[in-house]
Amino acid sequence: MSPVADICLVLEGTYPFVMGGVSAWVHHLIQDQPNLTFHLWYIAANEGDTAMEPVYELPPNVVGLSVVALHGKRSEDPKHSIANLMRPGRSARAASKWLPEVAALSELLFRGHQAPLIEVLQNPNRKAPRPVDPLDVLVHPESWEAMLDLYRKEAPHESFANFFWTWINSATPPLRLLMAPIPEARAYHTVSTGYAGLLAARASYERSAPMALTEHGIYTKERRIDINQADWILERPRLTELAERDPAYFRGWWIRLFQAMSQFTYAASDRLLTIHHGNTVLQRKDGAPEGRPEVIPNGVDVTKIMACAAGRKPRAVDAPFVIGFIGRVAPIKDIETLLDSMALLSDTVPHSRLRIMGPMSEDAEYAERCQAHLQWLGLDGRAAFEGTVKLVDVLPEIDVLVLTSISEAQPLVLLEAGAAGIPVVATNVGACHELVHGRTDEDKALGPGGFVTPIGSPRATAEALARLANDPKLCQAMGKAGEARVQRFYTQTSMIDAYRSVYGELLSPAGAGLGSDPLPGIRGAL
Amino acid sequence: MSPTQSEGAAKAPPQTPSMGRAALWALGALGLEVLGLGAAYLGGPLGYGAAAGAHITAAWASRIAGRTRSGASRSELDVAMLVALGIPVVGIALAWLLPRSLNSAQAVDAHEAFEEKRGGENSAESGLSGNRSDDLRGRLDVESDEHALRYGDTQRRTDLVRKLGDRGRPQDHELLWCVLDDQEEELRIQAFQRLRQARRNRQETIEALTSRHSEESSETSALDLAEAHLDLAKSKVLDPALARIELNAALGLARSIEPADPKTASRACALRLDAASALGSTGEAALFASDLRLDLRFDPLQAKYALVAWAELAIRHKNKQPVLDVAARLVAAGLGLPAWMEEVARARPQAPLESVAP
Repeated sequence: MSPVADICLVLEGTYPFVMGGVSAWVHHLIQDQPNLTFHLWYIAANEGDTAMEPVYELPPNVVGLSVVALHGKRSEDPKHSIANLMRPGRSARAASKWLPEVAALSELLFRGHQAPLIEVLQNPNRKAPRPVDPLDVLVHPESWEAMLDLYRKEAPHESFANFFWTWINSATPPLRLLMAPIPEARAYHTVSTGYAGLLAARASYERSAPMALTEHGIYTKERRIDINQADWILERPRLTELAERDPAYFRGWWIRLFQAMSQFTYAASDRLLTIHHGNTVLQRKDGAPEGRPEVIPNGVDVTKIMACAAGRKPRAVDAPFVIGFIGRVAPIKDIETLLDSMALLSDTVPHSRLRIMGPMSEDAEYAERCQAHLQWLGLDGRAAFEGTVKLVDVLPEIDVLVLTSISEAQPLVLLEAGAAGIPVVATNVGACHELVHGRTDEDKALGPGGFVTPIGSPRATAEALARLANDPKLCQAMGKAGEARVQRFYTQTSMIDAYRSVYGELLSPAGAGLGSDPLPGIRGAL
Repeated sequence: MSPTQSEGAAKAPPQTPSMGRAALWALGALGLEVLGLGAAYLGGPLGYGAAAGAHITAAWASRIAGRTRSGASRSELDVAMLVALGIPVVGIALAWLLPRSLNSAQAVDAHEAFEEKRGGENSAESGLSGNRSDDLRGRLDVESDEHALRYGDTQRRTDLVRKLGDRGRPQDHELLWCVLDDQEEELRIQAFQRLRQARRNRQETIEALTSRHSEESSETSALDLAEAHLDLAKSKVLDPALARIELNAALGLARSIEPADPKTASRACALRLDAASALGSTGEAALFASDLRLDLRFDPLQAKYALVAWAELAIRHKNKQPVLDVAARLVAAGLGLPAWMEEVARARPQAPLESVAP
């Protein structure tokens, strides 16, 4: 059994199993606070994923690692068919103990009422029941009746089969999270809302422990994008479509589920943090109480990066213009637009070279497609995928850093490039605009650290790159502005200091009492 | 009957006109006209029939009113009633004749007629240049999708982005590009993902056809591949500069074959015309004149598409003569003309702005 950690970090699809900006942030957060102990509570998608190996070497102050899966292994055994499960008697007694959780979840999902779930979690007379298969709970006769009642009230005009399966599929993961054993910790810190937020909030309420949230990307926004594009959402076949039915009902259901979980997390968080000001607007839009979101920007180790970039020299006239991309080769990074822009640069900057550096394993199919695209555009010799590299090795070798992502929060790589005095060309997503042009007047006065372009525009990216390639003075001036900005506003030291203060507050005797407040985020609002 | 009575009756002075009764008849006539107008407004055979009936009855009532008031002669009253009855007929006739005469006075410019009929739709050329925002503004009044994208609430715009992506026509993709300027980041991302998916689907087709062509190396496989490149170029999912790469690929493949089979020859011709037209390559297009004549000799039906495409290219370059030649050739072959070509053939002659001699 793991010792009681100071902080339990609740992580979904990130550190320590996946590389990326958020993972790097978590790693530094742990590594730079050796006086605190951490437990990692990781949420995996499927039960089979729980045997994964961490891709980071865990710092010595990590005292425990627990994994909880959102989905169990689906049994092919006909004995486990829905019809069979619904026969009375099968695990009914054990399953019935979880019925209050199911009822409270349905209140949260369909009516946005948080109080019933908080009441269940905080009930001092309630002993946590033995975990069972969530399906047994959801098809228990009482759950079935409650679901029928919901169907009649909420969506009598929709397909019942779709309603039933959407209920099963959407309620199973939260129910599994409510059944998972809670690691012992003095405070809980989640790095997203959604499932991780629900899990942290549950721990906070059940253990009366304080909790913090640091939202990097806005979870609900990302899920809304996924759901609006998804083709797995159950919808009626078009042939049976009736005018009075709502074509977006089940999409709305899923969006509501994630919104409800986010709001539950916002309400439970004693400290509601994010990494840039644009996010606070979105958080408030998604239900975070006014005035609660605070900003602690990302930061980088400026001294270390400056030291490694010290060898950078101004580019010689006949030297190739090296464009660097550092990041995961994943669809969200839109590598195709980057390659397209290189094709357009052929005429204006024929001596340009593109180096794509970062792991290619996250979406192997996409990486393969990008490589094929590179060949189709005839960029062999002018662009190359180099896989994972050491940042300190490559920063001195690139003239400009480019980021064509379609969605970002506050990309660390832009800060790292800034610290190294490298100008950037980035798409206008997340905090990129304020990282390049500055946010406050004082910040803006430092000048632009590069160019911001629209998403999906190879032409705009190519034009910005061409300007930098053909104007070494501009390139140098923008590099210097970026460097000054990072040194002034985005150092790792100031970020870690801010979190030290947050943890100090959560772990103080006064902070220990915060988790017992039923609704710290929305005191008096309900 | 006594003579006195009879004479007295014959010579009796005309009845004093009753103003009250006449006014009542006139009022009745007016009421009927109003009812008739109401019925006409409702439309349909019943509405128009009732309107006509009400109008005739009102004219008759006016005649009675006139007679009651003035005691005018029967023929005078008949003339008045006929005039009243005929006024709408005169109006309809004027409405019918006036615009026709104006129309002939201001003969339609041939190029305008073409643009009006085709409106630039499906023109790869127009997709390679021009301002998307201007396109959007220009269509706001006639299509609701553009309006909804601009003024709809977030949910409406989200649903529309999904609908446009599902429909996947070039004009839908153009609208999705406009969404990339939307104030909502979520919508921008969704529109971009739809565009990316549309491009990916076409690229997968190209990849499959490339493998097939490398195995078969036949004229048909080359044409299929060239058409897939052309489709990607014209789908409006690419930046115009990248669309040119696809067009050149299509053109290159089409140039690489010399089909003997008339059907394949005609397909290749049409493809080269399409690609050359989209690239704005008039010189290349001019080379097709002889090929087209050959095609007509082979199979007029198969060649029709290529000829029409050629004529379209010419009129886009503001040269009407090739359209007339093609029209004459098609008519001679017993084939029908597309509506835009008929319109152009009817339009007044004009001097060519740029010569694209077949």
